[in-house]
Amino acid sequence: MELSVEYIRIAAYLGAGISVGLGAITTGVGSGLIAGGGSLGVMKQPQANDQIFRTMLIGQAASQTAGIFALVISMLLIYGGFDTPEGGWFKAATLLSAGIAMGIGSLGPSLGAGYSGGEACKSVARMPKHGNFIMGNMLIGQALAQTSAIFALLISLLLLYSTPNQPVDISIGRILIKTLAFIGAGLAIGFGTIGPGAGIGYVAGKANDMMGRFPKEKSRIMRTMFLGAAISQSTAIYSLVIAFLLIFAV
Amino acid sequence: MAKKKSPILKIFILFIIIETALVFVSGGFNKQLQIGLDDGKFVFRNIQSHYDLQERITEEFQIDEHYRQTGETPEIYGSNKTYEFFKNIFGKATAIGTFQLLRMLLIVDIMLLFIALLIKKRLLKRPSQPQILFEMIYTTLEQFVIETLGKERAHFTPYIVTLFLFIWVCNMVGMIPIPGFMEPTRNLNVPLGLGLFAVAIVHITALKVKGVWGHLKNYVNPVKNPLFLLDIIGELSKVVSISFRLFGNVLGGAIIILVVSSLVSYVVFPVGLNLFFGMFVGTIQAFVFTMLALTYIGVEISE
Repeated sequence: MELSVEYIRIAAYLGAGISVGLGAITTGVGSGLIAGGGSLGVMKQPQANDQIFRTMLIGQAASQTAGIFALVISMLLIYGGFDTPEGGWFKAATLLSAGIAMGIGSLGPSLGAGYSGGEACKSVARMPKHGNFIMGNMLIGQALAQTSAIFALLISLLLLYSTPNQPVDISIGRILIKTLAFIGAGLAIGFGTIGPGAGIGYVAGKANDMMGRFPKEKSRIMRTMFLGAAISQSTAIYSLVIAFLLIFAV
Repeated sequence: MAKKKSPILKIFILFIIIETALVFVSGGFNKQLQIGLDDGKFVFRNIQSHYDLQERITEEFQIDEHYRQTGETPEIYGSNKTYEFFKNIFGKATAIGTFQLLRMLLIVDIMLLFIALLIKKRLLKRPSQPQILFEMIYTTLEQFVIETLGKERAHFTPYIVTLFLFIWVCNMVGMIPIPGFMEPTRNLNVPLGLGLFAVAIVHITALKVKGVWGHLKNYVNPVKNPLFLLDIIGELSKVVSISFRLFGNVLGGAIIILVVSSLVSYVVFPVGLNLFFGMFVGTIQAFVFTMLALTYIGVEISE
């Protein structure tokens, strides 16, 4: 069963659109949440204006990581040169699936990172003296929330670069199984990251909030945040394992 | 009364001046080359009449693939003989990419060594500006180390500061407008190596502090923790997350700068993008990597 290049190109462009379109949704929401927290903080504590502003800018830049990943994947899909005729149905499915994985996969993490940053801005306003540590904790919390987006990036890159071309003599049933398994891998990691990303963002946000109230308990708050995040992360790891199995073992 | 300039404005002005000055300085080397803004940097090279963006991305990010397709090595790497020479050393794996990576790592190391020697030579009681910068970096990170690990483990500070400075300079070096310069962190091998190293240090420290059984019982105790296999996968995911974060951000910045600068036909606009992705995101990601490496240690050794 042959597939002409045009169809592979269509799949790539569709994947690129899905990736950056969905990826931009919550990246924007997250940046807005941080800016909102910053505005609220400036009104509460006008003397700490500079510090809050700095925290806000850094938090926004760090919260856009997942959006940048989505952009990278769509750029690769458009310009990466994957549209060779040997690819066949396999290539079309992997290109579409890579876009789906990164697009849906950045929904939760960006939202979580945004919530964490917003709480941190308010927290800096409450306790400007400990601003540096709150900022450090904010960056760690955002990084934890974005771990699942990184899993999605990993699966997308694997789908793009380490999947085989379609063999010449292969039955239609086998083609169907393989292509649907590729798309299933993208869906698995995509949907599997929404919950953990947003959940860890909530954990990190609350930790930032408490750090502004009880700055002496820094290390205990950070440890609790880390352990809570590690357990929330486990469902994303289940999705990662299933995505691996679908790509390589089916 | 003149208002004092903020340090960020100073850095911005300095950046523009340096970037512009380098254009004119490097223009004297070779008259045949035309002036142009190539992938966001001012670069002098033969600008082909029509740049195919896809070809350009292949050339920039997959040099060996480019060689396989076209059979020509970029001018900066010399003739094809250079390629064959390195192919003999590294086997049939990526040869020009490896060469480029090693060259950039060497440049970064030399830069760090040079900075360190220069500052050590002129340590003053009333510090000069560069000395203030590096003292500030050191004391801030030392504070973080003491806060996370306690005063008795302040000896982790040199490792943490080295990690930060190395990644920071790695992320900055791509802004230097010389053809073939790239951030070493854009190659996955560098962040992956740093991540493996960081997680190894976490476990070695934990083994030292808690003893062999005290540490291993968190992982291989099926009674207490029936899903212990997933904990081991989670441990591996630490390496993945810490290294792919850095890699993805740097690569993303590089791709965006390349695509935007070719879309706007190499006008001055990419300098601003370099400022954002090179300096701002580069610094933040270096800091995030360092803080994560530090906090992993702190969480693992605390009871």
